[in-house]
Amino acid sequence: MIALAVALGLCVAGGVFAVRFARGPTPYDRILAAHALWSAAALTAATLGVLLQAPTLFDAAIVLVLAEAVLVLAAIKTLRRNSFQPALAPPEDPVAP
Amino acid sequence: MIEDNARQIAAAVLAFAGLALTLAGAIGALRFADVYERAHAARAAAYGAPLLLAALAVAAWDGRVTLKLALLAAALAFTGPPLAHFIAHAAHRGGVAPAARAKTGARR
Repeated sequence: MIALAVALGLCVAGGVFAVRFARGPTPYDRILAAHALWSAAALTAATLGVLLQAPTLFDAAIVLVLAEAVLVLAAIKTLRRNSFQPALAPPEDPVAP
Repeated sequence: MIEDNARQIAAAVLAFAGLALTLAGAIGALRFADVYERAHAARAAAYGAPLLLAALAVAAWDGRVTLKLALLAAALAFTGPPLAHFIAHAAHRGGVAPAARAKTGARR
């Protein structure tokens, strides 16, 4: 019962993060939303493991969390290779170099 | 029987607190103005995770399940904060300016 409520709440939170992923103006917003969405998915997997009494899903959740770390770092690395503009300088700022 | 009821109540309280944090963080990640504030809100959502896992462990009340859930909580605790830091740092290095505000602190 409690596991079902937790699973439903996590699905709602994941849906909200998915909206931010679809909207996110910058790529960093999308990475952040994907990170949060993926964490919610891993937690949902663990919750379903309790709900369905399937211990395999706990291992799946741990693997999801660890794979997520690698994927987020890879996405950040890709973005950092592609951008060399100075930090904190909006394009319409005439003073910035 | 009384112990079972107490266990269910404790699990419900933990699950409620965890879900409140998670949903509040999700709404913040949707509503806040720039990527830094959204990272802040997403961390608030991530702080709900150990509460939810504790609620599941209390509800399941099994040693092996508790061990797996503790491992999952440890994995989240070790990977989440560095990743949030790296995302915000990459946004800063990538030239994302914080959202402009009025002097009173109100959002434009």
